[in-house]
Amino acid sequence: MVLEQETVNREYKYGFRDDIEYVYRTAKGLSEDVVREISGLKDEPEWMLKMRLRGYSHFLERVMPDWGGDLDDIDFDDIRYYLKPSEKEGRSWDEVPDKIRETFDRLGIPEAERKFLAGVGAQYDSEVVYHKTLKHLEEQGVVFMGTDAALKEYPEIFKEYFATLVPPEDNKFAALNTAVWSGGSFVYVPKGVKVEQPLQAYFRINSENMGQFERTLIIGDEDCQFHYIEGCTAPTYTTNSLHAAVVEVIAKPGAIVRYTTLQNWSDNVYNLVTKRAYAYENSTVEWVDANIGSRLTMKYPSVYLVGKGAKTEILSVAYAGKGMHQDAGAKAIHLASDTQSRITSKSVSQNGGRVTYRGHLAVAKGARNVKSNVRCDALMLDAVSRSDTYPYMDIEEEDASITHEATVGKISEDVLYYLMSRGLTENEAMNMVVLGFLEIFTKELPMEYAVEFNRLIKMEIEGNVG
Amino acid sequence: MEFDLGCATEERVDELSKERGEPAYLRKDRTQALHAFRAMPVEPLPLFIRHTDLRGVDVGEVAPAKHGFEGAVTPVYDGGEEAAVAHVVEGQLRELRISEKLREHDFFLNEASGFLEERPKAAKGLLARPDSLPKDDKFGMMSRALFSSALVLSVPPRLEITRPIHLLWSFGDPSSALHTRTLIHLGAGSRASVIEEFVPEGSGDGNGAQSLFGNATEVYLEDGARLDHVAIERFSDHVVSFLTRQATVGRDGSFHQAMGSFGGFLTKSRTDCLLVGQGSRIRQVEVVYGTGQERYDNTNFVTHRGRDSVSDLLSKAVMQERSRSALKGVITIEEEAGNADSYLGQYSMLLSRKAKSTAIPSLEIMTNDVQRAQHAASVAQLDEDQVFYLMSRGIPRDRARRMLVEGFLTPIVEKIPLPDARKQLYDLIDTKWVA
Repeated sequence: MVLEQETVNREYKYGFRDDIEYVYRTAKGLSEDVVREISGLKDEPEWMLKMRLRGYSHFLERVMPDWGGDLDDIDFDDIRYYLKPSEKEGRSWDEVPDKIRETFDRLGIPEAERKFLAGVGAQYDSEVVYHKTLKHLEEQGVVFMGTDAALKEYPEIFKEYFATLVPPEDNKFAALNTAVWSGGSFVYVPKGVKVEQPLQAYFRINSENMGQFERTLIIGDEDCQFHYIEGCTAPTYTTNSLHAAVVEVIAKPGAIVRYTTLQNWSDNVYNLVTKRAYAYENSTVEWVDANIGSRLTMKYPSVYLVGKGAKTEILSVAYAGKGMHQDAGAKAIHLASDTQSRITSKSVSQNGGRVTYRGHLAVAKGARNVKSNVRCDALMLDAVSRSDTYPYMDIEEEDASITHEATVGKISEDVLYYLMSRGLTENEAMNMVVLGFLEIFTKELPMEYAVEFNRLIKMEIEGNVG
Repeated sequence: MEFDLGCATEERVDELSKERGEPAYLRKDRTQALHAFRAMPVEPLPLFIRHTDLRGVDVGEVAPAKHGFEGAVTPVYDGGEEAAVAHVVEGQLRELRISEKLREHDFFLNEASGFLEERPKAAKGLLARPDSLPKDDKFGMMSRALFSSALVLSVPPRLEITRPIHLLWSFGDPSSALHTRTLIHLGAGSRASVIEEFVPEGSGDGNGAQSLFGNATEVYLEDGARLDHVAIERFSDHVVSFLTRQATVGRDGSFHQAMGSFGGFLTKSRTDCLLVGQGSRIRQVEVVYGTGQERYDNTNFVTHRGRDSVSDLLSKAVMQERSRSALKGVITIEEEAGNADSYLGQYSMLLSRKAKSTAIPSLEIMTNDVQRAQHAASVAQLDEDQVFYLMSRGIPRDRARRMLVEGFLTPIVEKIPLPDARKQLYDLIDTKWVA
């Protein structure tokens, strides 16, 4: 395909791949046997196998979504659903196979861990290969580990929450994830515990025609406070990979949970994920979501404000270059009184890229005194790109106060001219304007991430303008 | 979601066409529209599927309006206040008055059958124009296939008509269906203003039986033409109406439209504006006022195709009691529409806990060469501080609330360039208020 040949030229520094020997891999394609095989390999309890099969049967029944992006090129039979890169989950980097460790070295993870992280998890294809949490946090009862390990070690908590926010029947890709999930992060922060430094997970797809289906479950108990952050990259292949994750975040009364994603898949990855949070009484869920890679992303982080006085703030940033479509957005579902939400979306499209904001704001009957504010700004860098905004607002209570604003624009010639008159090249001037446009997002990132994010955006823009 | 109509058959189309002595091309056009109507889904856009709701609509078996076909009438020329008046009652043209001054011009207003007879050549271009209705709108196709009454308004090039032209559609027969078309063509450089009203006929509420009204309004503005169009719908509670409108605006053409929805069991309207000419402009305002259990489903599409085109659409909805409204809109700026300027605003006010409102203001922008592409929406209640302030000045609570609702709607009514229409809207807003 012409499109793919072109897109592989995108400057993407994470496009390298390793030749590693997999410990185990399933055959291509999906069947009930594959689902049973995965469950058997993981030596799972019966209820989980049942849950997987429930997901599988719904996946078969459910039709492909006919909205959003173009999903025609996904060939479910050409995907490998499970690839196990190493025997066990390492607790130190020495236990991780050399080649895989080198990959994470190149991605800068161990270095970052030493510097400023409270815990790190690293997933390579289907399995978590490394997981470590600072000792003093472990002593306070903070759990941060691979989801598979958590199923074995904390079966009760696991069963209580798993698939409660995103049931297998939620949508086709959530059903698929339920059937074949593997890896992901499990976080539990006990009552009143405040974790100062971020907990970080890193997801890497290495193999071609691979499907990564991690399942993340995050539980913040009453009055706790923490920040979970994750990043994702993949090699650049000419055929497609699929990433269909499910993330469930629970913020118990009074908890303050922040969830940050920096999605930077290569542009042969379909990124179709379901991310949902429940915010109970007086809790706060902050969701910071950046999408700067992938061929097609369909991702709408949703926060259900189920307890009185809950708050959420969702910040969504998207960049689409050549051959990319970011169909992203946010949902705030107000089910309780005195809840507040604020959604801010910033998007940049360039070189034929397409960015779509798709949002949903709902105020249910009985949810009094709700306040919500949505703001979407789109910047288009050239005439061949495309920017869409589809906000939905369903209001069933009279005393809700809801506002929505959106603008789509370009960089004004005057601004570019002014910067160039100060000695900047056109490229530098454009970079400066775009980074300024996205600053509201970078401000929210830990410093090291902000620096990295700015560098990525610069690279994208220069690579595309060049 | 399905919508079937018992009387939507080829026999019915043949009967209608024969009765009117229509040329073969028009019968063919009706048949094509019938097939399109049958094949199409109620909601063509996946974007809006969840927000299109025909629950409770029960008009599948209603019979066509029983009044026979009478066709065109001889106009009365007079020196009345208005430039022209056409009044169609239950599908029959009952009154047609045209100003004496227009007699000497090439002006036309009458039943479509009269246009077919008088100007057979122009009629083909107007009545069977393939692109004058949205291709994916089921209900536009329904009216086009089954219309038993159609009004044609044609204004010759460079004629400026200052006083308004009044088109009235009265309907309300219980358990009946009436399908209509309104065709408006303005020649290059001409100017006209049209007030089109959809009003209740008879006093009955249908004794529980619903009635169906369909209208397709097809507007074509040649280069430099300007039309001020006001469309007000205020049917009785038993009427389900489907109003499809499309305006195509040529180079430097200008279309000002005011839409008002004030009644009916369900009013589903779809308005498409195509800015095809360079420098073409549209300005639309929309007022929706719901009480009782009324439901409104209003979709507006604006497509910028010509360079330097300008669009501005402002919708405001006031919902009382158990009424519900869905305001949906899509502004599309196509790749070749350089330097377009576009605004879409949707504001709702809910005055009761049982009322409901949905807003979906969408944008699809294919080029960065835009002057402005903006939308805004809000859903809010009355500001209690303002109510309190007015009460502190001695104004009773109910009166204060009413004043604030008027204050919410006044800015958009004031945008309507026709004093008559403004007055009428104020009166309607006034009578709709439920204390």
